[in-house]
Amino acid sequence: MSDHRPTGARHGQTPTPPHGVPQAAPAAGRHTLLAIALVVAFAIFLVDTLSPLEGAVAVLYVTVVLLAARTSRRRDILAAAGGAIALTLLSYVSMHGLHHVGSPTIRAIVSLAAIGVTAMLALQNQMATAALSRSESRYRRMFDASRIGVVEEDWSAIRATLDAAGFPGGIDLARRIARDPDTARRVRGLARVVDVNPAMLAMLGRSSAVPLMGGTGNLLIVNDRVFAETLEAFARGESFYEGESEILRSDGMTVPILFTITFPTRPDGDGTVLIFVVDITERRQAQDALLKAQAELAHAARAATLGELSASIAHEVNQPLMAVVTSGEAGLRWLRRASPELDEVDQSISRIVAEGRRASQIVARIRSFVKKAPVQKDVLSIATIIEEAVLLVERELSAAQVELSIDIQPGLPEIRGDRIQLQQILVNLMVNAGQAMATREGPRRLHIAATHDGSGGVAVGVADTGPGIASEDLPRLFEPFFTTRQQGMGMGLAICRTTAEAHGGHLSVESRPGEGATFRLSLPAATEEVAAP
Amino acid sequence: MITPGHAAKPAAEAIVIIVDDDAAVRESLDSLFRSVGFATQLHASPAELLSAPFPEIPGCIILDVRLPGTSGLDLQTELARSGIELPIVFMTGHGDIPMSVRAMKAGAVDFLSKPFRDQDMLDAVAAAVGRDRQRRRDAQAANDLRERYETLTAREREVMIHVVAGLMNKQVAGMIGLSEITVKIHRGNAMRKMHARSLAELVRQAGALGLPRP
Repeated sequence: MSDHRPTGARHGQTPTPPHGVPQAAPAAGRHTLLAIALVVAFAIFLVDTLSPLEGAVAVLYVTVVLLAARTSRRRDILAAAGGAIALTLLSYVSMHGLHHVGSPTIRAIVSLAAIGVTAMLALQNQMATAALSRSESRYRRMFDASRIGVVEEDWSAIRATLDAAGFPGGIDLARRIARDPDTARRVRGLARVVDVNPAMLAMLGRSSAVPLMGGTGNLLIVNDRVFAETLEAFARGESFYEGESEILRSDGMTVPILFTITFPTRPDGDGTVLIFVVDITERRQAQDALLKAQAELAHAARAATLGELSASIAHEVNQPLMAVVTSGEAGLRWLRRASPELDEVDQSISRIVAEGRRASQIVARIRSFVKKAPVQKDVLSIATIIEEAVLLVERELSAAQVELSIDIQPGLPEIRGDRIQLQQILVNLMVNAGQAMATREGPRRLHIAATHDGSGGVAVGVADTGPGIASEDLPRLFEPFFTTRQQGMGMGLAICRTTAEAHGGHLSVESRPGEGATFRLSLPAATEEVAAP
Repeated sequence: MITPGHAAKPAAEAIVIIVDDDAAVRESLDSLFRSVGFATQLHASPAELLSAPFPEIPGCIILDVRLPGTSGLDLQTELARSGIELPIVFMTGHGDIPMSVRAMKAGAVDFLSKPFRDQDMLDAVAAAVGRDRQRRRDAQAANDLRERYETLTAREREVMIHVVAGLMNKQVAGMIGLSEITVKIHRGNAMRKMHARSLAELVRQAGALGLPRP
């Protein structure tokens, strides 16, 4: 029996034998065994041949076969069995000749049978052992050569803790443990690392697995929520669990990883757990680059929208500016009269101050809309987003003689997301609606409604009384570069949908030609995040 | 606004009607015009304007072209259709050439971009009010003329029509069957009642009244 031996990052060494499996003994041991077997055989032969004992002494040859079997070599077993049979026959023949003599013959046959059966059993055992050994070395090859990191851990102590709480009490315990970080850490520490493959060591930036054997504390940084879910899956008796986490390299850096942890099936007393780890740094980088590109595109679209709104923005800014200039001029005239009207001057100056502030607020609002800021994840109220979006487009809408109505259900949950990007979706939808309605005569009504969406989140509907959308255009509406307008760029709705989905929500449309269109934006409610360790 | 210790201001001779949906714009214009002695009327929308009584004194309308609801140009058309002839000065928050051309063609006095110099606005208003004053004077004169004409008897009118056509008294007498003397008397009365100092003036008056040819 060999003991558990840690594997190191060995390149070019012969693989060490698998654990817990009887191996072919080293040459010296084998020769000793064979020598002992030979001596025993000789002794039995002498006793069998020379002693007057009436028993089936030859049966004792089975010990020789068993001794030889310990070398786990087919050849040795066959040699021992063959030798034992030969010696038995030799002994029999030398004592009784070749004629049939009654009970000694029977005894000889019994001995031969015993030797034969033992030999067969030994051979079977040896074959099974050889198969097991081959299987183990195949496993070993996979373990060592895999480019996926593999960690083998012993979770029997954790299983014991869970069982002590009783199943399904174990599941509640898992939840409770998850909520208490100290207990969570203690339970995590009950896992013992049994083995670590070379790929995993490379990921950790280590050359030897020796310091890792023992606790798991610093092997996988698994945040509390991920560990809680893993523990629950374990307690429920599921066969595996997948998740994302980070590992801590020996140089202190963290590496993002995807892991699959496989649990032993319940009746199996062997408590080892296998964790397969894949480095997803590149995937993360690609994801981050994609998000960044999307944010840039959204920003470009906002700038373009601003271009579309520029006429009404100019108008909106010029109003307070004009009030400032005219009030100033009026104030001067009041002041320059033969008897100055100071009350009027006072009013004029107050108006200047107020309108100056108003102008800078308008500019600030526009600037914040077109700002290229990194994506924020704030908790927001949909009512505020709608109000702010309306402020940006209301002059445009009223110039186009669109009647705007807003209906916000009370008690809507808060949502989590980027204020500017969400404003952008609504601004885009409203500008589109206004432009659609400008193409034809008839009532121009735009209705915005915010309601519960039926699955805990928020739904915003933007409905217009325009010409509607042709049914053949409907499926393509959200494609990039699809537009039904002459000067349209076709990016607005594609970006809106991507933004909605990036927020965990969805953007859809319903329309019947001649009856206008209703766009529906649904967003999930902001949930509490479990704090990362 | 009357402040204590000051005498009441003299009644204004002209009025400016301001239409803009932005309160600050309305108030600043109001202050400006009052500072130079105009009376003012403020409205937030064309609808408000149309439902208010029209002023007796000469005036004009200051209007933003881009108003929610009825646009400024529509109001211009509406007023023309209702026979209200107050001159209009347009203003706009952002310069729009096609719109300004349309406005001028429809008879606006001027078209100013915000923010404008106060003198430019006051000049435009002065021109507009001047135009309105002239119109009123013309209307008043035409009215007077008509009233005077009403006081003429049928014969006097008949004689007048023939005389302004260039016929001599004798010819007129022959044409309408009266003696020359009678024609002379009617002619004299007509000229007196019409306050015409010469035949030429009578001819002009006949033209202004649109009298038919004999």
